[in-house]
Order: sequence, then structure tokens, then C-alpha cells
Amino acid sequence: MKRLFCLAMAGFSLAVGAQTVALTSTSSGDITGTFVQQANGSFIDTFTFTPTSVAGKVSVSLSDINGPINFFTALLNGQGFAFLPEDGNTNFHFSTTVTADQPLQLQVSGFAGDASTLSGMDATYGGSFIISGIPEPADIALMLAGLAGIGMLARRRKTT
Amino acid sequence: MTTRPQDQRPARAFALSAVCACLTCAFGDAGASSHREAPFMSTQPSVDGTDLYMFRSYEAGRQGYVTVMADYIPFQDPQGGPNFYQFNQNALYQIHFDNNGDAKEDISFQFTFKNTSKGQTLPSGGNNTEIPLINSGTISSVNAPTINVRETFNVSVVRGDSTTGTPAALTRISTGATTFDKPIDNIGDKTFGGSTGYATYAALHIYDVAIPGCGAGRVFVGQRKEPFYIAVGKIFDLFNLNPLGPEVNGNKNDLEAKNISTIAMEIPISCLATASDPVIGAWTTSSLRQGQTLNPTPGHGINNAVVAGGAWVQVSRVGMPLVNEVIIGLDDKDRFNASKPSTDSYFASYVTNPAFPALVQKLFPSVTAPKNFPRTDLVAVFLTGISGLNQPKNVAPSEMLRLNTSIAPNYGAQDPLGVAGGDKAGFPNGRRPGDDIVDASLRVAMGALCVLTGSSDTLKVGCSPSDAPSGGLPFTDGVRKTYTDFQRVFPYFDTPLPGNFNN
Repeated sequence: MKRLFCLAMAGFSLAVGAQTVALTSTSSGDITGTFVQQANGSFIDTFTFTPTSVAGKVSVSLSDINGPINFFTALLNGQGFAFLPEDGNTNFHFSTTVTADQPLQLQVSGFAGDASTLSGMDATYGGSFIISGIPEPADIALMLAGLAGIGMLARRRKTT
Repeated sequence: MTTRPQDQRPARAFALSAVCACLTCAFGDAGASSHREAPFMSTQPSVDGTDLYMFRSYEAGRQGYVTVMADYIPFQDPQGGPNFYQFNQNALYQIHFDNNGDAKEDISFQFTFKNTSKGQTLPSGGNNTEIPLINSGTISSVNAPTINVRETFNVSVVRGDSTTGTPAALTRISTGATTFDKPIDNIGDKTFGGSTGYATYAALHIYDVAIPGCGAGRVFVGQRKEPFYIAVGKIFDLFNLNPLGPEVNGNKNDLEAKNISTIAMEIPISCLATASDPVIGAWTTSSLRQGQTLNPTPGHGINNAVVAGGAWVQVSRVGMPLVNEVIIGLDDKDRFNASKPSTDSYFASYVTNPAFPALVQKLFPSVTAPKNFPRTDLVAVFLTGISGLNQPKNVAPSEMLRLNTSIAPNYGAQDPLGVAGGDKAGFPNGRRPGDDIVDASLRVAMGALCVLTGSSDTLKVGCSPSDAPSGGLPFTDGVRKTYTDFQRVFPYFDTPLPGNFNN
């Protein structure tokens, strides 16, 4: 995972506090995106995305790259997630479902440095997005029409 | 990634004179009642620890147990609906015990809470509309269908360092369950079916529990009538009272119409004390997550306005009564709440050279503050325990409530002044509901121990009657209760006042 983020750094500019992340479609139909963020001391970083709105199941993974990063919380389109150290995880994972009726936005809070003494240090963390698409209403309608057609064919064969 | 609990922060070194050096390592947090006592805590009522009680159980047949009760969420008006006073589910509440005098916890009990909305609705014009209350009807059973917000908790025991030890869950003996229902607060007599309804309902939430490694005990968490009694308004108004007036009915108890939230446990003595030393020390703490983010668009539900994450950070600490309230200086109160007994040397000068007696002398020039500095008598009461009574055999000075578990309870003979009244089973050897810790602490601060110890210093407190010219005066706030004002059965504190209470 760390290597992935280090590689990703070459393609994404670092920013403090806010940055826009480009999302790309994969051959499997998923939408993915990665980012790298610098921090020192307390941080509340906001990430927006292009395209601005997507729909589907979003899985987010946050991890430190360089230096000590202490994640606290994340808000993804108004849904809150807490990083609880006693769970024993070293990365901050969470997932939820978003709809396209509002802009996709992620807010991450934490502390870069020694959080027990509030001594800030330069550190870097990265994040990855995987958005598994959910069928659009038009797709669902097309599928239902297809099923109806199959049903009509089956019924016609039965009657003949 | 590195995430360390905040309460592992190292103690800040500080210099004291050579005379005081031997004392500084011993001072902990001497606190009595602690309602809204610190600047930050006054903004965080749900995690505001107010009082700690600890005594040999005096309910019939329970002499083999120690009862400990930690009070939180102060100044509860019984009418405080519709949400009343729920524990914070983003907080960790703990009761710690030190059984070898080293100022470090050996056994801790950890409580976490969960408040769940059932989303109850009523039909209204064709819609099913959510009700705005925590109950939709009368209540007489645990998790009754008419309870709209279910409050539950879990308890674990941790041995050794509470931040690194492995928690083991307490289980209900009858069912094996690890999750316990907390009674919702006393909304009012109509809700609970009459004036005695709440007492019956609350009693259903006293649980016999299996404590891993300890055998059986009891747990109750819920609202109680505020047991602490004090003329607090007049005291904070520059002692706007006669400190030598009547001890009984001299002033109004300003907390008489209030409720409190209590975490109560009854634990076998053998679980807490070792065979080599019957003295145990205790303190309670609460912690919040290091990071909190306000959600500008909370989702549907009762727990979505704030998301909290990161390490636990201690924000409240209560051991002896009144320590952070009247001993610790204003600018160090938040620090004290975040501290551990093992780092109490930072606060030592507040005990060795206290400001409170000097303030009393300034307000009442006819009385004289004790002249012995450092105040070794206060060090004994607040930091080490009194030799021969409740001082551990190998004591590292630190502030906590200390109890000699070998001293039998004496229901029927309890003196509200405790040791100062000749009752060694009472304050400061532990603390019972009826103990008048305001009068006792006031007298101790003004040098009562220097008088009691006599010229030969039989109590070994390092002073003599000549050091405390006013040490024999019966200082009082004029409010007095006794053991007869409280029930004699666990959880000892009385049924909370109902919401329909008209004061």
C-alpha cells in the first residue's frame, strides 16, 4: 500500500488543507482515485473530486506514508467515521454508499506528529478511493424491459 | 502509524525546595466534590465527574464487599427533558484502584455507553411521524416497548496499566450477557406508574455480575438523587455565611433539588486488596476521543451530530473530595483533570502551601490559618493517607481516596465527621454517603489534625496544636446529613427526584 501511494505521488501535487482529486474509470467498471497529503500538527483536510458527483459504494483507505500520522475522524458526504486505535488497525478504512445528488466531498482530521504531547512533525498520508457503480435508473428500466420480453417469449412458446 | 493514549504523557518535571522535595512525589489530586470545577470541564457536563464514594458495604450480609460509586453529570434539574441526562457514548468512564501504594492503577473498571433511538412514530394525518420524546408511554420494565431511546452499557475489568492492559468483560450471572440496560431517568410519576414506580423500575437494573478473576459482584448505573450536600452558593460568594454557626439547619443545601448520574459497583474485598496490605486507593476518570468533528449535515439519527475518533484523552479526575474544586489553582485545574496520580508532584505546592486557609483568614480576620509549612498534615490527608489508619505500607504520595478495608463497617454508629468525630470507618478513611466532607475538609484545612494529634503528634502528621490556633474551631457550612438520610441497600443513594417534582 505504501508503495502504491509513493508511486501515486508522482502524478498528484501535494496540497495543504484542500485538494481536488481526479477520478478515473477502470476496465472493470469501477471508478478509482488516489491522493497524497502533507500535514504538520493538527489537520483538517478537505478533498473534492472530478467528476464532482458519483453514485455507488465508496470504499476509502487512508494510510500514513512518511512520518507519524494520527487519524481522528472522517466525513464523507455528511457521514461520519471514527478511527479507534484500540481496534488495532494501522490504516483507516471505511465505506459507504453515495448518491449523485450532491458533490462528493471527503474531510479528514487528525494530527501529524506525537499526538500524546501535541508535538507537530512533517508527515504525509495518502488515500485511495474505489467506487463500485450502482445501476442507473435507465439501466434498471432496460433490464426490466428485457426480463419482460423474455417472459413474453416464454409465455408465447408455452401457448403454442 | 503511531497512536498513543494521551494519558501516557510524561510528567512535567518541576523544582521544589529541598524541604518540600520529599513531599512532592506524594501529592496527588486531593479532590472533594467536583461539580463544574475546571474551566474546560464546565463546558462538558456529560463527562464531568463530581464525587467518588468508597466504603465497606454496610447492607446486611454484604460485609465482605467494598462499594464504590462515581457520580457524573452535575446539577441535574429533575425536569430536564426531553432528553434528560444520558451518558456520553463517545466517552470512556473508569474507576481505578491502586492496591500497593505505588500511585498506579492495578485494577480498573471501564464503562462505555450506547444510546439507541428506536425511531418510534405515531400516525398523523396519514403519515407515521417520529415522536420528539425518549418515551412513548408508561414504563415498568427493562427496555420496555415504550422506551424510545434505549441506554445500554458495557463494563470491563483491566489489570495493570489501564491504557495497555487487556479488558475482560463483566457478565450478568443470570444470562451471561455483557451488555446491560441503564434505566432511563426519572421522567416523572405518571410515566412510572406512581410515586414508587421509579424505585421499582430502577431496582430491575441492579445486576449480579461475574467479574473475571474476582467472583461475583453487583453493578448499577443510573440516575440518583444528588447525595452531596453543601451550601455551595454562599461558599462561592466569598463565604457569605457564618462559618461558626449552627452545624445543622444553619443553611440550605443548595443541591437538595438536584439529581446526579451514578456508576455504582459492589466488589469483593479480596478482588481489590492484597493479602499484604488492606489499604486500597481509588479514583475515577473520564476520557474523550482526541478528535471531534462537527457534522454540518447530520444524518437521520441521534448520534450523528459529532464524529469522535483518535486516542482516549482523560478530561476528568476525582479522588478525594473537593481537591480540584478548592485546592488546585484555577490555571492548573484542566491540567489536574488530565493528570495521573503518579505525576502529582506537579501539584504538590497546592497542598504544602494551600491558598484556601489563607482565604478563610482574609475573609474572617478573627480566625488564623495554620502556620506549619509545608502543611504535612494536609499531605497526610490528601496524598499519603494517615499513618496507622489508611496509609499504604509502601506509599508513593499521590491524591486518591484511600480505604483501609480491614476496618469493619459500623452502621448505626456512623459519625458524619468521620475520623474527626472518632469514627475510623468514615472520611477520610474512604467516604460514605452521609459523611459531611465539607465540614470535615474545612476543619482539616484550618488545622484540625494539628489539634487532634496533640503535642506528641500521635497521628504522625508533622504538626502540633500550637501550629493551628483555629484548629479546634467547629467550622461548618451549616448543612448536615447523616447515614439515616440514605437507603441502607445498594446502591445506597436515594431514588432520583421525578420530573414532575415541584420545588
